[in-house]
Amino acid sequence: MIGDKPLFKKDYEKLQFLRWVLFLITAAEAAGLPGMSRSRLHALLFVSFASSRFYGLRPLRQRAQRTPHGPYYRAAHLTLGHLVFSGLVEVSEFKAHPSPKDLQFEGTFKLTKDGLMMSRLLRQTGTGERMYKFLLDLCLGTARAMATHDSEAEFDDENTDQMLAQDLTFRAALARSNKSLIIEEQVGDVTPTLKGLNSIDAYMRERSFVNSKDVLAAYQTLLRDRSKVA
Amino acid sequence: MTVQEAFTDNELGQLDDVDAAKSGSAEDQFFQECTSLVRIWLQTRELRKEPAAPDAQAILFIYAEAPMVDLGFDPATVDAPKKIRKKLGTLAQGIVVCNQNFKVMLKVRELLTVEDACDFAENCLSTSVSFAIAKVGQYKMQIHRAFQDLDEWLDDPDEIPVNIDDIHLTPEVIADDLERFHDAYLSTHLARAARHMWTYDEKKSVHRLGERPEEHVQSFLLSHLDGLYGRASVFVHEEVKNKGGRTDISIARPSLGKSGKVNTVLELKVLAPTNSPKANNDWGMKGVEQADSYRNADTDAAFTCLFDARKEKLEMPDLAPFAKSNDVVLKIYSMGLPPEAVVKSKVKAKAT
Repeated sequence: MIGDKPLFKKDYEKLQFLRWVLFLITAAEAAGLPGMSRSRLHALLFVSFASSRFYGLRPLRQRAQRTPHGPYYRAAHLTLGHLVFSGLVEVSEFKAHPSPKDLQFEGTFKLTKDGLMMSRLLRQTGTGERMYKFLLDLCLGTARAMATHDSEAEFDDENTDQMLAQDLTFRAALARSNKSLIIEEQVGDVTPTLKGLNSIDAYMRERSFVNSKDVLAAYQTLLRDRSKVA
Repeated sequence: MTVQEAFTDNELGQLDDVDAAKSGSAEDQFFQECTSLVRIWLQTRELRKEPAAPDAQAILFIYAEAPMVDLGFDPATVDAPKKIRKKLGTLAQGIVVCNQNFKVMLKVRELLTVEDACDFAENCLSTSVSFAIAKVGQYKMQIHRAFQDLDEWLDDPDEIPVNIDDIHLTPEVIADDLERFHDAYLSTHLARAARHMWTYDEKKSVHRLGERPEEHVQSFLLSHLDGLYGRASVFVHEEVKNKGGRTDISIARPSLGKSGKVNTVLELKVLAPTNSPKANNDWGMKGVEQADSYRNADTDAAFTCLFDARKEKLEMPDLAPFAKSNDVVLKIYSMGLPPEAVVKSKVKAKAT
């Protein structure tokens, strides 16, 4: 209940999605990734849902909408609207998109100071803390994998989207004839991404001490190398 | 798709040279980045045979979770932020605001002395800000962790040496360094780390041992060893929190052996004043088991470090034989308690 209103399941799910997206934008900022484009956000959401069980977290979605521009989540689109209108995220380079059905707009999204404060508050619960740790580790891994060779502080922004498009679950979903991009056929299925992460985890832990974030970084490093030869 | 097909052996083989990223809390990682940057700068100068920088020259590193969004202090007190890069190698002095992996570095003041840095900290930063003052000419760094009392800290800052020498690390050298760490940081209730571990309850006029004392010790020891060991990588497992209270540190470095590397592992345990003798004994035994289980094929020694905050330091006769039978080096470091009759531990449930 919120006040005298009952909290419906769909409202609860909307709040869950809102928290995930706000955390993802915060994590990207904290990992030193510049403002996020709409397509990058949806791609990162897809990869986060395909890999969250590696951190013991249930993904919020089992599939994404297939578009010529990559994976797309209507819920993320609506969430971005909520976050922008509530001042937690700001949008720049806004451009209306001709497709009324799905994309609707393009833009670059950046956390605001209020968004940062809200994100800190939401991290105070156990689930919030675990969820943020996962998304931060994912983004730290992206930053590490996409650092250019000659300067680890330079972020190779252009190739990041190509790297994310090599995600094992995304490749497998693209190869299927389904209308949507399937992450988990059945709830709890081991995704190709999770299989890949588990194999890297087993390989690395046999050789040295590593944290899960190192596995996420290694996974994205291998995707980056695949994107170079693709 | 099978597990073997996810990545080829060739692809996985490319990960052999990948080192673990800096570990610990975001704040811990920030301090390690500070040490690393200063060390590289000092090493470069030494290679070029340049004279040491003046004693007064300073870099003030300020941690901000998202510096582009919020510096964490009043922007009017500094110049307009200028983006700089870690690898430029030009940061020799000034104030710089950085995120945890130093991908974002905003320089907000060019010239800085150690006195300026302390003045700035005193007047413009709050207790909740994590920062480090690198005294580059003195090869030292002063570390302020979030929520350390700023006035107390300014009077007696936590200062670590930034060593650039190539030390040959052995378990014996590490044991000696642990002794020195204990002397400076934990031997009395006013020592550098210990003073932040006890909280005073004014209503009941008692000191209490704070929550998660092992993590407190780990954080101080991590930055201390990271400053001391230039060639070694000091690592903590981030995921083992709340799993049987495991709090570890490993010190990995290159070796001439077959695998080309060797490591020493430390398991840290604090014996609490309010626990029963049996509970403390069991906690120590658990520390031995965990140190033993933590080692891998490259481990040369596994230490269990017991920081003894018990009121009465009674003998624990089972511990040493148990450690010996597990080939674990047992070290017990006495911690002095605040002077009062009753010492109670603080128990607080974690939010879920």
